[in-house]
Amino acid sequence: MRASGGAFAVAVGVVGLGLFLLLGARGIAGDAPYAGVGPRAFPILVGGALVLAGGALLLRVLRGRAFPEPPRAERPALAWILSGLILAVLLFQPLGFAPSAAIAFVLTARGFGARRWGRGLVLGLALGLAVYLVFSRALGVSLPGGPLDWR
Amino acid sequence: MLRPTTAFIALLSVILAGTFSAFAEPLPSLKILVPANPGGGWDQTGRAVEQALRAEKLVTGAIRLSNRGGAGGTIGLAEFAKSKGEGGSLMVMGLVMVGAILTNKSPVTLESVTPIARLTSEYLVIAVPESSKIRTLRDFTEALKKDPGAVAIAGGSRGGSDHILAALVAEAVGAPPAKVNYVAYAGGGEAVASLLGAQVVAGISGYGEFQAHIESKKLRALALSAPARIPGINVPTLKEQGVNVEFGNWRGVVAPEGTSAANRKALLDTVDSMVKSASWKAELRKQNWEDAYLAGDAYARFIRAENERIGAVLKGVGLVK
Amino acid sequence: METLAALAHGFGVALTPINLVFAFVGAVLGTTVGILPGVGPALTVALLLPVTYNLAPTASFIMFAGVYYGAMYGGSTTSILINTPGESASIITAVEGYQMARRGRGAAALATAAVGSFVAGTLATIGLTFLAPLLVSVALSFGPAEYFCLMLLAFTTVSAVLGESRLRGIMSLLLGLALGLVGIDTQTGQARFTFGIPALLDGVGMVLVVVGLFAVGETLYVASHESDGGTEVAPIRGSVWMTREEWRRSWKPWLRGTLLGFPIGALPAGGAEIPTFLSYLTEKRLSAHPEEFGKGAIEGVAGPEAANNAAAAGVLAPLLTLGLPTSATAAILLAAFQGYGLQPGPLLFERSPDLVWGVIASLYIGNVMLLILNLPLAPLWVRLLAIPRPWLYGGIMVFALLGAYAVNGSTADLVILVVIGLLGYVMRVYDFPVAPVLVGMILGPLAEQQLRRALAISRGDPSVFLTRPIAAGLLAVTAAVLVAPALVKLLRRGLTPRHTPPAP
Repeated sequence: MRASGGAFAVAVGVVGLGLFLLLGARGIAGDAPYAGVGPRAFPILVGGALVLAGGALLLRVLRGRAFPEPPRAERPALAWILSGLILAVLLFQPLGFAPSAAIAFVLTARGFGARRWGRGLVLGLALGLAVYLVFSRALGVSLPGGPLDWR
Repeated sequence: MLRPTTAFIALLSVILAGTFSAFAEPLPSLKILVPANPGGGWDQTGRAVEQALRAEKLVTGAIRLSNRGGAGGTIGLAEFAKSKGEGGSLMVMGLVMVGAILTNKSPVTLESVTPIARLTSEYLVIAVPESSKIRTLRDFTEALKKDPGAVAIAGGSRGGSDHILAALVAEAVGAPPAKVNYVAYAGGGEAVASLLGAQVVAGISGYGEFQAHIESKKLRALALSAPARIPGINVPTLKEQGVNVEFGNWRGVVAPEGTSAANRKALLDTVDSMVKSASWKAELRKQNWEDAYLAGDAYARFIRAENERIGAVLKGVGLVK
Repeated sequence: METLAALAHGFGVALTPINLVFAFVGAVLGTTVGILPGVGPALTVALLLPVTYNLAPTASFIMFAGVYYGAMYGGSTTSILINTPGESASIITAVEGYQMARRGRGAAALATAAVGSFVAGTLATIGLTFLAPLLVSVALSFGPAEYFCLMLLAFTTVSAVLGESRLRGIMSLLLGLALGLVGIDTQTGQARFTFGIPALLDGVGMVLVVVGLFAVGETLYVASHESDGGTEVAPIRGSVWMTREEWRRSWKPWLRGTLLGFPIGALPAGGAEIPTFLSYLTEKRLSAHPEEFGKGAIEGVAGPEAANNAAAAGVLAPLLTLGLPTSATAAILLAAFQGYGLQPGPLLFERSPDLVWGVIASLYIGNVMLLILNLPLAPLWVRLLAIPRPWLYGGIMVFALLGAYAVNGSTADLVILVVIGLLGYVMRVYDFPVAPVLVGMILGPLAEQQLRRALAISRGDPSVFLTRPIAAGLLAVTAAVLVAPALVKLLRRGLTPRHTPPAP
């Protein structure tokens, strides 16, 4: 089996994370006058273990026997949902909870193949609004209201 | 910092207000931000203020309390300092925030808010398990001087009020504060449990947290950090036992940066009427808090002084470089 | 039999019609809110705190009891049906529960969770009634050394949730440990791996990781890899209720889960997650069908669900007898007590017997109500899965956003949610198990802090782990758990007569 690029990236990522912890541990002041085990010990332990595990994985990937080739992802579905989430996060404060929740709802639904935009928008807005009213107005969770924030 | 003109106008308006009206106009509405998650001292302070204002009808419209916890209150502070408090908005804060700003190197400090009033103070108590060989404060300080490492002291987070008192006491009796063997616990419950189970030598906490165990003779109180004896608490102070430390975990309220003079005055008046009300006194009794009312500019000066004092302590224990 | 008389009196207080209404309202609210991903018991109780200020203390605590237990019941529902735990004590439930749902046994999984929660809740409440002071005095003998050894024991659970590849499972665990390092280090007060971002000073929120890895990661994966619907969650297959076989396989895990959950819940630093981990490991080891684990073994739902409800009752033992809040929810309950001017602790039983025994009685009542409420709901909840997938997953996203934001009210948390969601997606694509991340994230910080506390108290002397009897005992059990499977294999091989043909 040919070494897959994705698997290679995962293994490198794991090693990278381990190295990052090891490097980051150097910036932690290591005072533990009585315990002996200070705030650096765990980062070094975990970082070291990650480097070792990632290295083992890397070896396997290079020998071409790490993973069964993952099934092909449907990129468009992924793109729809992710863009929905990112838009919702960006617009969360300016637009308020209900509209941004509706955006996440509609684009997620689109990712699952729903093509009736209008219906999705109505459903999403209704759900977002209901959640907003129950949690923000009745239970006092501070959700951004956007245009609804008339208080 | 208030600019001199602003301060002058504020002072003038306070004087004028005092001359013309003894009663505060009720605020139209109020937002209270608690920069901690529900359940702790700040949350209880915020809710007590809310209760008292409601009961005394000092706010005509809605009072909205929200929690924004994290990083010793500095996350809430950063958000609050920028907010525009139309109508009125207050944030609960206190000694712990002064420390957290320093240890977390918070970019927003208490200089960027408008101090309104210190409301309460809770004195800390040093206690040992009933079975302990340490029977008096003197035993404790002697042990601390002889070998600080052997005296494991449990308390809340490092750099918090409990730790600061431990450092102040160590310094006062001539033990190096940085050598105190302070064992930090995240939650109050866990620290009390470790003391009840005699896992550590001593513990420091707000009197309220130890009260039930002191009264039921599971813990022995060595000293209280109050300036003088508190009626109803049969524990000698540090001062009367020759350790010159007084320290209260105070809590108060502040308004956002750039609060207008008129708005500030309205808040000062509302808080002033609240503090003098029967409902507030009832809240204090219920929660076992000491009244520590100190308003306006005097409060701002107090915060600055505390900032100096806490900063020195935290440097001494190596938490602030 | 003083206790019985006091309890009878408590029932007298709780069984008034109006208090029953409050218990019912609490149970309904708790279940409903507990079902939402990211909105767990602590948040639920906090949200309802202001509502109760206008009620008498007894009525409001009776309602809280319903909310508290109800949220624990509700947390398992989404775990089972859509692989999205409502709170961290239901993570392990998702492992087997979701697989059961995929095989069409979702209703049975919900039923075993509900009945198990009832059995555990009731037994643990009985324990709370009669054993609380005794249990608490034992719990106080747990110091940092004992806790560290308990964490080590809990870590062995990972061996049961590693999935198909040991290496990938260990990487997941390490990732969780790495996430757990982020934030202020309690012992030294300095920030680690926070990149100067204030939102990270308190660490990466548990809710964000649970919702991100499960809800968001799952949604992304299902959309991009299972769009044909071929592996769609099956509708109910077979009986709506638990079969006789399923009952037979459930009752022992319920009891064992209770035995693990109640005492660990009563420990000041025990929590509700650790007993679920230990229960899962126990059931996998004791099961006659270990091969079914990971594919929908009912024991893997029954045990942990019983354990987390028993732990919820256990948490009340130190709260009522010593006034010690040992969980986020308990801290809020304590604040509620104090809001009424009541100080929980040894004196509460003397000063306010009506209230205490009323609350304890209402725990029994709340459990019965929750069972009555949840059993018939099980098949109804399964209908959730009949919602067309675009709308179902769209809805999950809306609640994921709500849950992630509601905890701290921070937009930065939403960014973290999306990042962790992507991570969860990549992990699924490359077949990394998700549960070990959470095991590592929950246990890592606890283990580190307790180890360092233990060594600070002993001034660096590691022998405390061996000289303190409970700590040493826990270490011995940990060693046994690690060695036992190999030993059993060895023994079996030794005992098997030579001439038996090797298994195909």
